[in-house]
Amino acid sequence: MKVLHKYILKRLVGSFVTISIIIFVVFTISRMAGDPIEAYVTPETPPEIVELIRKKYHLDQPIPIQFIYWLQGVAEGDLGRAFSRGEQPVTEMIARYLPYSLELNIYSLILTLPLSFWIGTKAAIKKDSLFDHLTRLFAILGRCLPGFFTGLLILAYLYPTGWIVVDPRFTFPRVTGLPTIDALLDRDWAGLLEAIKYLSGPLITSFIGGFASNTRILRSNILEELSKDYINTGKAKGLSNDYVEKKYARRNAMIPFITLLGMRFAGMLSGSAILEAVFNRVGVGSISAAAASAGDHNTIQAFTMIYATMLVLANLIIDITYGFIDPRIRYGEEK
Amino acid sequence: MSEFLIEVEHLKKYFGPVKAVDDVSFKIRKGETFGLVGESGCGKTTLGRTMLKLLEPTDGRIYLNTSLDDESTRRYDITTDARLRKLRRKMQIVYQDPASSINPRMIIRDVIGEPLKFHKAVKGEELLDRIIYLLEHVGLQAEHLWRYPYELSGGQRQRVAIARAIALNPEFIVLDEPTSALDVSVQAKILKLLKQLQRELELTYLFITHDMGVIDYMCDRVAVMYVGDILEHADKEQLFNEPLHPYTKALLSAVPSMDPTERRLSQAEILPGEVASPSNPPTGCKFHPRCKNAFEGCDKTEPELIEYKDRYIACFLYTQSKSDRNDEKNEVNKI
Amino acid sequence: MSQQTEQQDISEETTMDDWAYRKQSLSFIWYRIRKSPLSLLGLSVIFFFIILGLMAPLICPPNSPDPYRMPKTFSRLPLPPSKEHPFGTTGPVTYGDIFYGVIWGTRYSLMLAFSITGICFTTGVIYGGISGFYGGKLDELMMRIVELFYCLPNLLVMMVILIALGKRGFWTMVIAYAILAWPGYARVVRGEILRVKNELYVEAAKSIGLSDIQIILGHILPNCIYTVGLMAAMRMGTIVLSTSSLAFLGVGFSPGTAEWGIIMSEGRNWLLQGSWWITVYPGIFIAFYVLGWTLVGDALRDILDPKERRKV
Repeated sequence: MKVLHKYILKRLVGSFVTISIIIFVVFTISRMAGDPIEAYVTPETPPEIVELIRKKYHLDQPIPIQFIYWLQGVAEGDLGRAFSRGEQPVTEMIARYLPYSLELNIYSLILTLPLSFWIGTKAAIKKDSLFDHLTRLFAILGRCLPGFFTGLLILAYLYPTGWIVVDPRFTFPRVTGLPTIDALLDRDWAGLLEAIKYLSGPLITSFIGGFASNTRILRSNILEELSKDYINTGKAKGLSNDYVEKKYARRNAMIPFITLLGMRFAGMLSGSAILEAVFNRVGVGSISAAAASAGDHNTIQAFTMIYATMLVLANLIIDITYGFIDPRIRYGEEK
Repeated sequence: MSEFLIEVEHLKKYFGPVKAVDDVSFKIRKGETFGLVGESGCGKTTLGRTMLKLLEPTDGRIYLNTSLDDESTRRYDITTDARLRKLRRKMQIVYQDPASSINPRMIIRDVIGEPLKFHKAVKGEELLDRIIYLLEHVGLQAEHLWRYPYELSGGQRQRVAIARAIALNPEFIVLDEPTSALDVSVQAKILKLLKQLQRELELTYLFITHDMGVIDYMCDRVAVMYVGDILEHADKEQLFNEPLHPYTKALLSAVPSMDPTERRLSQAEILPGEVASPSNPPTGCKFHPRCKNAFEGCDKTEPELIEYKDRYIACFLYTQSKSDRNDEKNEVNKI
Repeated sequence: MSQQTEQQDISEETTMDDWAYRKQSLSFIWYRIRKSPLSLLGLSVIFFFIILGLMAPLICPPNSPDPYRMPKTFSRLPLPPSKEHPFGTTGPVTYGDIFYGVIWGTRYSLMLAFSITGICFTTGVIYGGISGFYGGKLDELMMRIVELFYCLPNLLVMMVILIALGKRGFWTMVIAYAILAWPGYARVVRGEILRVKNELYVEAAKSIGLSDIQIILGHILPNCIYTVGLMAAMRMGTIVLSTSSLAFLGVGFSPGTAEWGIIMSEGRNWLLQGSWWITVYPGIFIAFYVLGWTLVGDALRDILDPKERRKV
């Protein structure tokens, strides 16, 4: 197992370096997008106070030093204040809004991936059948329509029916922060329904887009697998078509599936600003977008760090999983 | 001047721990066909490519005795000479797989024309004429000019590769298993073509193959290779009639015979074990674990390739190693 | 003597074939395109859009110095489609004529797509080319940098860049997008180059004596370019998806610009009150635009593939 350990270690170190560099880069850029002091003062603030504030937030130091102060803060759990939302500590802000995005992402994942896998494989196996054509049609359409367009259409049709809620009133206590879970925990069935309706719009929209692209990818991957020789060998050996397809093709198609899963995982803590804008949903997407517009560097850095970490982590897990599955990969590193 | 066109001295090619070519020396006479035979993975292909400096040698020297630019014939050190590009006109290679050795996106006219154009050997109108001439010389027709490689059969593609190789009137051609990938009936034709071209154009060949039958037909001298070393090197007749090295004997015994009265196949010597690994070869003589004549001392040092009677051989049965004087078995002394 | 004339005849015959050959390969490509109805559809759609974009000044003559600003028609509410306003207007805030916006939006989107793709393609090919061809430590370093870009949250960083660059407008968007998009191209190019670099015919070219540059230009690039070209074609569509999404969020373009996304951003609030035209017309245009490019991309891929498959 030593080879695998070396491989994992190498990857871990590499990831750590990558994350650090990214954060530093974003740190630098966001500080260059205008004098950060502007975030804390107004034109009327007297110069002495401006100086004081400058010193307090270390804005008079060179950027690398500022970076170190920020890192210190991170280690202590202090990500600074988000002035785009009125001086609220960033950590608080994240704690408030992140669960909503997390909820949406989890349900979207559960809904989209298994379905795309199942339908994608079925379409590939029954190539050129009506089922296949319909699937492909749906997949292409899903990709062509911009997310906000589909969302708006769904909003237009479902809002009048009451199946979408854009202004929910929750009465159950906040435990995890995820509305559906909290409602369940409180056995507040009306609240649960409300939470579901709050979810429905963005969920359906994200499902359509995600399903379209995933199914397409999976279908083409499985088609590729099916054209390989070992499938024919299996059939020649006398195994039934069904068995061959299920066991061999599906199993090998799992590999790109893992990549898809990994990428989804990476986005778990991010939000979609578009979906949130269309459905008036609370979440991390619109927060970060607002922060970007306002030049709120603390928030920007925090979200970049989160995103980069998740992405690198996801890649790491994918790589390690591949390392387990495919011995060629970890031995390949030795050259 | 020298009767030898190519001189290889202590050539080594290592890929990290893999010793593909491990201290090989030999000379090829002008006009002869020098055969290099061995099992897959013994390093013969690597040797062929390194000889033309298509791979960078790890150590050793290669000399070409020829004349450049109307100068008199002299000895050129391919490994270090700055005029390598010009020297390349004199030495060409034909690969085993014609499908991958020809750019799939070029039409035949350009495939053959490229060397001519690059070295400015012919211009304009003459260029096309010469290409057609070459095509016909290898048994193809003018209409093939406009085809893509994938539109030709394997045999035709190999003819194209040969045409490309002789385009610049080289003196030396490395033929790396040129017929191994072809159907047997086509093999015979290509071999005949090669012999004919050799006569007409006064070519010298290094013929690499694993097929003893082909060696018999094509070659004047033969070298037997095993895991990076040359074990025996002699005139073809002598090698076939009286193989000395145990490995050579085993190889020859395995050649099926067309004569039903010869029951050689049933007496084929099957070597125990597997081919040694070039990255972790046995100590001493690399063949000793599989050799039925092995004795004490075969595992201590590597036998040198030494002149013995009418040939060169690297085997303790026939030579004494420097440090080991074994009085019991050998009555043979170095000549 | 007679042999010489024979030779001449043959070369005359075959020189004429030079043109015939070119015609032949073109007609073959056309034949393949014709065979697939979807690729024809895609090509027609794109063709239609390009014509539309080129003819924009004729169809909707601009009446202000900046043709990309929609002409205003003041009214209390957005106006539904009518004879004067075939696609309606956007009403309060920008009061723009949607027909004008959509037509000039076509032109705008095409310009965006071509500019961005052009920059990314060129940068990607050069960067990926150097990295892939020279390999070694340089390649490692260059690819680490590319990986860095991959880890950035796209939307966020693009917005940061847009704010940093200051004024909104065409080139701001192009630069912001291109900065984040070129690594994708570089990676693909490098991958292709690595694949081709190890092919036997590259070594064969070396054995003839060709110099590095000649090998790159004559052998490596022509075999790599197709995958990257395919990627570029696909991306032409998705670029507009992204830019219009950003515009929808109000970033990068100012309201009133003739751009599909930003028109739709106004549509949201009016949608629930029944003014569907603000959302639907630009949306349909976006959908068809992306569809067209996707089909073209698929068609390209099919044209390239069977060629390889037909290898004996």
